Amino acid sequence: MFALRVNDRPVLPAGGDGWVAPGRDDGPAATQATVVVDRRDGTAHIAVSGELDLANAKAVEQQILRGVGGGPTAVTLDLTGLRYIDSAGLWILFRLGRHLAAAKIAGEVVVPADGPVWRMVETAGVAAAIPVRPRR
Amino acid sequence: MPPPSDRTEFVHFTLPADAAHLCRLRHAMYGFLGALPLCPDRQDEIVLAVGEAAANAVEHAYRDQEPGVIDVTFWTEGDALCVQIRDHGRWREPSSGPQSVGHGLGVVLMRRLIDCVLIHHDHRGTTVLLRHPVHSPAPDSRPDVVPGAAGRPAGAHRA
Repeated sequence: MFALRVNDRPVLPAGGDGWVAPGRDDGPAATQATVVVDRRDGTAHIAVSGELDLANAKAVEQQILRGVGGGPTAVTLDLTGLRYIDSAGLWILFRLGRHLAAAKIAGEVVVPADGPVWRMVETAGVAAAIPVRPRR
Repeated sequence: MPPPSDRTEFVHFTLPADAAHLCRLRHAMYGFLGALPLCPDRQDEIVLAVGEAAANAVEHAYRDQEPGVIDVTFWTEGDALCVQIRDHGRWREPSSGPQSVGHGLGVVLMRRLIDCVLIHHDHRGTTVLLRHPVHSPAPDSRPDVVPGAAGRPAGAHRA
């Protein structure tokens, strides 16, 4: 048996039957991601870092698609700097895989070898849509 | 350190059903889970599943009606931790096909990440209950001696 404790203190006051709202100390206010596109020799290296969820998925997908434009011969989507992804982010990977296959562009997604992004990419079966390479 | 307690405690948040609040919800979840004897992979699975349940509520529950809220309740039982994610809107059956967004994939992911996922919906809204077994530490050990259970989430997930 255990009680939920944070820093050895009960989360709630004794007898508490409580209500706690996530506050200022609970991380950034909104989901933040950075997309960096590096194009050279006909290939596009697109690095997405930060966190990716329903809040920023549309904006991130637009940036990725801009990086894919212009007919590169190969695209690497580098997620090694990504700390979180949800199903809205996974859909970007499925759609990108379909888009690249239709355009006959070689593509791959590089993911951290463990942690939440790897867990989600593996659990959702993204490799069926686009090759996935884990990197430590 | 206070003596161990066998009293069940719980935490309840009410969030606007708005994608802008998903980030704070998961950072708060990592904060609570960090105190429990869970390895980082299990913490990730719980936070990811809660994120999917909350994202479904954001995306679907209040479509075509007044924006509402999501109630998240997190509590411990003797050998499990439970998270309930509740909205007060309408359930929408997942549409089929690769174009369906959210919902269908979100529910599949929740069920793959967490062994026990119960989803109940009626005219009052949708409730998702996630139940994850947790093994108590031995009486003379502290949760943070579990390998990998301490430290990482705060460093890795907080700004």
